Amino acid sequence: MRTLHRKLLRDLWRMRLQALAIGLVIGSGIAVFIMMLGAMASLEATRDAYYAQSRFGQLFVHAERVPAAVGEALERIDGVVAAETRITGFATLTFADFVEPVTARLVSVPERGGPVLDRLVIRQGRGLAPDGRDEALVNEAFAEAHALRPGDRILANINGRQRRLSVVGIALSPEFVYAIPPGALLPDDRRFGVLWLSRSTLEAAFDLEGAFNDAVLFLAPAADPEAVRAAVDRLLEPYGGLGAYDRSIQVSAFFVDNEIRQLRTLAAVLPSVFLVVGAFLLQAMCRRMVDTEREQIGVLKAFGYADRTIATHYLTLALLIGLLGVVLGLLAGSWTAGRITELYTQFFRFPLLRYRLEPWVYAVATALGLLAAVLGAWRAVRAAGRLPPAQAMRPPPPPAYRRRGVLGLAVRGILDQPTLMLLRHLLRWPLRSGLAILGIAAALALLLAAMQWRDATAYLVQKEFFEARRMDFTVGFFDPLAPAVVPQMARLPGVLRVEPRRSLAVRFRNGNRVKRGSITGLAPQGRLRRVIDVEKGPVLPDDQGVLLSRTLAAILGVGRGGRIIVETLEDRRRSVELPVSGLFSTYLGIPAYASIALVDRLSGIGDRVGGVDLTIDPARRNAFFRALRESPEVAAVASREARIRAFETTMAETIDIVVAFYVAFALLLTFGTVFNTGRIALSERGRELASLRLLGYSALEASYVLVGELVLMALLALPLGLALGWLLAVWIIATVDNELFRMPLVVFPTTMAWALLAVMAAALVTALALARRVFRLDLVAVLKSRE
Amino acid sequence: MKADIGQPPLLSVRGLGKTYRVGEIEIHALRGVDLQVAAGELLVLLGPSGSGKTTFLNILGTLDLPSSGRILFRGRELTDLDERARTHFRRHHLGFVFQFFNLMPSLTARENVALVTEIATRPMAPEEALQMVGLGHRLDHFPAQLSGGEQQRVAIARAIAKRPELLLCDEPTGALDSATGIVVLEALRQTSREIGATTLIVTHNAAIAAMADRVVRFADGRVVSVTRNPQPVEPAALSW
Repeated sequence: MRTLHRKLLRDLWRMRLQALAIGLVIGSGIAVFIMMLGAMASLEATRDAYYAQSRFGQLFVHAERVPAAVGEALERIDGVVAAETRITGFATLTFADFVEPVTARLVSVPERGGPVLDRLVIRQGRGLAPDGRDEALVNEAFAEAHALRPGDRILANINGRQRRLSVVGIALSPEFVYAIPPGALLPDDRRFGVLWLSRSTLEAAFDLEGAFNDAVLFLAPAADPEAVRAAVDRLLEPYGGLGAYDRSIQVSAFFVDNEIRQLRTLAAVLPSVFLVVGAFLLQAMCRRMVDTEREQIGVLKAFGYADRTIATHYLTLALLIGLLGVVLGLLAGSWTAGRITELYTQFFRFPLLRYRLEPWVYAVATALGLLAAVLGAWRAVRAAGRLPPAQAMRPPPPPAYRRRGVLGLAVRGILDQPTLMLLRHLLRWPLRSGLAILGIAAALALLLAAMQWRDATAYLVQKEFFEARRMDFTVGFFDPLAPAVVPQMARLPGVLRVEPRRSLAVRFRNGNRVKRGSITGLAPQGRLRRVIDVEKGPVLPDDQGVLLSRTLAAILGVGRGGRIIVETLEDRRRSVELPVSGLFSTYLGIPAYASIALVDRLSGIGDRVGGVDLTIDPARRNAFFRALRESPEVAAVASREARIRAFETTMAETIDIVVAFYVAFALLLTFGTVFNTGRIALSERGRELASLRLLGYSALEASYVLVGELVLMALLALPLGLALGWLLAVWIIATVDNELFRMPLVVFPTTMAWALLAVMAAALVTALALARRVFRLDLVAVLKSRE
Repeated sequence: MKADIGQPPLLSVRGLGKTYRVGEIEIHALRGVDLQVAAGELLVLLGPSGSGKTTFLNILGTLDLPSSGRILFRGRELTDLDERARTHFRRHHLGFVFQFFNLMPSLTARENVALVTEIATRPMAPEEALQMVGLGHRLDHFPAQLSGGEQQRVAIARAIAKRPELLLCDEPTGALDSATGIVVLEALRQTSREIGATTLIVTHNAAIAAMADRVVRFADGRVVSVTRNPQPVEPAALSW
């Protein structure tokens, strides 16, 4: 037995490059698995612990003005454990060293004892003092972006009044793990922050003494969330309640969950591509090994080694290669998972997020790697065990070739003999060639699917921020204002064009399909915010009907020309039936548009402007910013350019890193597949190649038979890879199909060219590396040995 | 077909030596071999295994390099050719026949021959070469569909189709029974005569020596005797 083990180790050493190539493919699969699932598990465990510790609410509701007494009624709803009532709003902030507008979300904190739900973690400084008028806590990301520390002061415009706030602490909240400005997809910590102020400060600022406008509820484990939600809505309806929603669409929680969900889905599919290819490569290698060693197997059996021992021998070899893959994969996976988790800390603000080595992830990864090895080797191992010794000691019959349709008479005279040799070899083992082609195609598919993410993001930015939106800034007011504000804004320095806008919270209804949302009224002849109809191109909203985003229309089950009921949730409540005058595509949210006149009519309180879109003269930016700061009515400002920059920075800092990991793994897959296929071909055909050399073919000409076959396989893999890549991209895009955002499916021609080029280059380099062995073939030795 | 004394020899070997190192041990495979071969001659190189005859053939075929000595082919030095020139020499002047045939399993008989005629300067048609070895009726069979003797005859057709000046055969009947072996030798003798190739046959089978113009005996890395057959017999008359 010990001698057999020694043979095993020497065989492994002899085939070390091949073993390494397969180990790398299996290892890539394990690494991707750990990378995704490890990051997922860390994120999930951190999230769950943090949400539980901080008692993150499960139901959220916003209203206009609710008397404080109703808050107690909320707590008495069956199934509600605790209700936190509060005041939330927006403010604009002014910094001496940052000229651009900064918007803050304001959240009130009870005078004593801090919030019961959505508890804050104070990272620096202290909580608000019991009578902490004008004291503020600041979210950590914003504090870091502006180098804010306890003791600093911030100038804030809250509901038209300038207040000098003093920062007493830096805090984290489960509500703002992912803190993004309203309507954005990505954080912009320089231009958006969260400020926690005392309840009394905000009561005074928003004229809400003895009232609240926002509530968070914590439910009993057995509670029926739907029943509670209905009860909350009934209770708050008279006070301008906008409808309660649960944690699954709370913005921050949604993005965290979405990330976890996506990692989990990808972890289920992507690693299996590597593992399946790895198993196939192992199968080809073991098969070849058993073929070349059949005489040794015969001798061993003749000397009394049991079939079982022989089978175990080859199985152990496969398991060692699998183990090599597992070890490489665990190391690479832990490292990449650590890097990915680190990337998440830039977006997700948890009290502590770091890569946690979850034992179960490692156990599953190890099991998967070894399983791939066993399954891959199984057929060859069984064949070795079953080989009758007498038959084993005879050399195998020469491989029988047949003429096949295309390669029969038709091609005689067209193809030279070496080409015919490589074509026949390719067709002689269609399964093996097919699997090799599939392996290369899978690598290309992964490459495309990973690289298209960048294209999709760039395309989304192009469509949403260049084509659909042409304003430089979007300004929101604390309260809807009379139309006279429009010319007033137009007089601000540098302003070139102003278009009014008014949003109304509504409930859409079509039969029993109901969806809460809002209708944004746009200016007649507006040019800054374009609605692009799927059929008609850009359209102007009319006074008669609403334009629905396709996702919203699908939720409501209505098409163009259909009719829906619109129930307004603000101002004078009413219910109106309106025609759907068009559908449009957007990747962001589920908006609906109408003319501002129609929205004014729906609101029932006359003409109002909720905000404006502006273009400005870039040369007068700073003057414009200064004037904006002094406009008391401005509650929030968003810069289109900043949003675009946020996308670009994120892309450079994060997506590119993740894509780079995938590119590396995909190239390893190409290398592993081509190297193994070529190595086996070389072993099978060493004799043929040497004979060619003897017949007067140069080493270069002889290696053409080998390289040509590998390159041909790679070429055949390209269209298949493109198709698979497309399918994979469709599937990945489908995993991010939700109400907040969707991703377009686009692959730019340059991306496709790069992916094709990368796979071809990897295949060619590997093939050429193998071709060097043809140059080094020992002609005499190859001819003397009889296989 | 006797060597013409007046002409320079086709092949002239002087002091050829070959030393291998296998681990710690030096093996002297050839210890100073001298031999002159005239154009058109048929030589049988005889000797027990390990006597150096195959090493000698491999060096003549430029598959191996000598440690010392010179080989002149038509007065041109063969031993200091670079890889490119060696390929050129094999391509244009040399025909090989091996013990284990070394056919391409993926090519038919005709295609195996075409493999060589495609890169030769004035080859015969593959069909013609196969006709010469009596395989005109098995042109489109793959090696796996041919018997051992047929495979070796394809190999001979492949070797002579380019009309080589030198034909090197290493144990051409070594893997065949005697009846088949004789058929193969007949094909070899007849074709080499038709194209006028100088032929060297390495074998340990002394019976084959009777068909040679001259018999060169190897032992222990040296040529121990060169004898001229006054009356070479046709292969059909051989038996072993």
